[in-house]
Amino acid sequence: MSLLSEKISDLQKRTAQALQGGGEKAVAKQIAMGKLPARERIRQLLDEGTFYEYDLFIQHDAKEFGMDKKILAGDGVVIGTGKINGQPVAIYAQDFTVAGGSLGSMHARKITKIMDYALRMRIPLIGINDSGGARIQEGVNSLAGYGEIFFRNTLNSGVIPQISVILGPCAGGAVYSPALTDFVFVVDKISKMFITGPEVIKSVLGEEIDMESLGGARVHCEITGNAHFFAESEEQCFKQIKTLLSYLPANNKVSAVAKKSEEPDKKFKIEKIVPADATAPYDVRNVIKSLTDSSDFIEVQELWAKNIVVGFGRMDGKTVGFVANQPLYLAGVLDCDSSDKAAKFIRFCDAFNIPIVTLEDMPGYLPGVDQEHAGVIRHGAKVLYAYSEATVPKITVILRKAYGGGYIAMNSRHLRADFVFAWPTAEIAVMGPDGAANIIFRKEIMEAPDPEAMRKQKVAEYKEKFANPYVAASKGYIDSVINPSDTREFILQSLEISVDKYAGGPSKKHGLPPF
Amino acid sequence: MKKTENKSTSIKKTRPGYKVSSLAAAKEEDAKVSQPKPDVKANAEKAFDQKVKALDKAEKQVHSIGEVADAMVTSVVVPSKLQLHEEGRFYKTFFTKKFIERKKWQAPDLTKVISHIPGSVIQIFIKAGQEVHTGDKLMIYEAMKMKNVVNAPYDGKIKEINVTIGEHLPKGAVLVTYEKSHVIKVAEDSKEHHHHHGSRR
Repeated sequence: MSLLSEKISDLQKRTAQALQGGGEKAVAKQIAMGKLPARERIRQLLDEGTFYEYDLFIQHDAKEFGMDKKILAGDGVVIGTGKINGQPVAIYAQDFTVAGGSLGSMHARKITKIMDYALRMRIPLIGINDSGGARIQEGVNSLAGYGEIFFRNTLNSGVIPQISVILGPCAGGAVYSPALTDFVFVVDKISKMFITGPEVIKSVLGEEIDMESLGGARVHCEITGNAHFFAESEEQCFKQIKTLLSYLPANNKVSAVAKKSEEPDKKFKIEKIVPADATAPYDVRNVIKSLTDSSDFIEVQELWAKNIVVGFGRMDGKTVGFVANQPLYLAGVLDCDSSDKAAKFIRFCDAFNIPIVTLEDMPGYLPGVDQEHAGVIRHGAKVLYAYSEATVPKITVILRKAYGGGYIAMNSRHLRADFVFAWPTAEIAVMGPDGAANIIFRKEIMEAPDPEAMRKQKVAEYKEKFANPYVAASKGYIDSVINPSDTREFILQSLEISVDKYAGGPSKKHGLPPF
Repeated sequence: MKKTENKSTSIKKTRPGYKVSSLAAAKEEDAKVSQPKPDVKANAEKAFDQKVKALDKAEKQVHSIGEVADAMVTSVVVPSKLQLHEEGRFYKTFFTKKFIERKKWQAPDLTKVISHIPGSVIQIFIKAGQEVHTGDKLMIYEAMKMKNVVNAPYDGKIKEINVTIGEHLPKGAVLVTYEKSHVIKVAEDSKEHHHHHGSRR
């Protein structure tokens, strides 16, 4: 009996020792930098009392460069399982207080272990990155560790939602783990993500730049598009993660937890949001909020490619993905970045059985030499590919403009949208009236006694004849021209019908998205 | 016509697509390049800053009243100057930062040989005024731990070598300038005397 109690007190002593991480001084330094310690982060993110840690007593087995004399608690990473919103998740958090959170082979072993668990148990994976990078003393073993992590990121991709939270430096090869995951969360002034750091850039190329301007949170949210959610503090970041996870299913074979169906907030009157003047802008997020339950909408990549809006909402209590052109920025055109943003979101929704509602109001693709040279052709093709290959229920509502190639790209009937509705204000045509009239009626305009008046007349003629939804409706390219105030009803009804949709295709190993 | 004559002036025809109206115009342009430019850059920067400030202010106004749909429709503030021209129609809209800061395309100046990566020059093989053929070694340019060889892109006469050995250069630095007029002179000469140069690969 006394032997058992001795052993238990020994266990408690060892546990307490390991839980100290890098020691009091290192923890104090971490807090002084404005960052929370790893276990504190997990405690704040997960539901109270649900975290169980594994592999606390892992020891590294490196011998070179004085490593055999170092004892690193848990080898610098905390892994375990717990619950968020009552749903199980797998989580790892790198511990910056232990050897700078550097990744050695046992550190990587712990991470790959929890990734394997997440895949086997089919639960979401959350990775909190806060590491100095590869442990140079362990040499190639560190690289091997990273490789094993990246492979599992890819293996898990599309099976379980993977979330990366960058709460510290994430440099060099380590950035590829977040890049392979589905959603990346960054925090202002704390997240730093880049492949080659400022010192290397300075020594090799002579360019001087500080860490924040090179790969800080704002840079990745506004310029590179690598990050999906921006937070001002770690606390806000954890709230965002919890909100996002409430919309997502645990894996690709189940649906997200359904909530009670709610009506949207009455202040969003859909028929009042879109102006009559086709060239005037409006915020399409207000349209989305007039359609979703409780007007709740979580926007993904809010600060990048603002001319398109993507995000999750609920309709009839079930998660729905929204893709909408945003006329408030760049008139809602499609270009390189917005195509990338939309395509990635569509692929995520398709992988996890989330229906997609597309709200279309775009005048075309953004013209410009910089766009062409940046490959808008290749990037625009991504949207076409993503929509075509998606087999989830796809519903399109054409609000105003749908011209040219963009009409096809934004989930038209031809890309096998299940239901396509158009408002009476819709203009579905090959070109805008002004451009088209100049081409079709060129002869009449040139030969007229008053070319300007003739041009105006022809533009009006074309507008009346073609810039409306009825030409497309007469061919069955759209299913219904609907009253704007009935939009939510029509979408709800379509979602209800297509709940068991099955759409097959020719069997193949996989297609070739235009990467 | 004689073989020895060919060797000393055996410079191939000018690159296709390289247009200069006349020898005199080319000489004039050469002289212009060396003159200092007016302070265009500073004025443009000031105008840009002002535009961004106005944009930020207008954006904040819209977002603060964007919550209520009615207000959005009746009192949205969009500066009239921000209009995107799409296929004959002007759309009132905000521009993104990326769109405002985009680099305007400029036709490349074919007389300049520029660096495509930051680095430094460690060896120079030619002198100003020297005549070169396509593919001749101009210099060794060290970048990314490699000794890169810079070759002459086309035949011509080197006007000036704009770098010194050991100088650290950024991307887009001018390494070597060709004599534009000399290239044209040769083209005009070759037209007059109907020189047929053998293809030199």
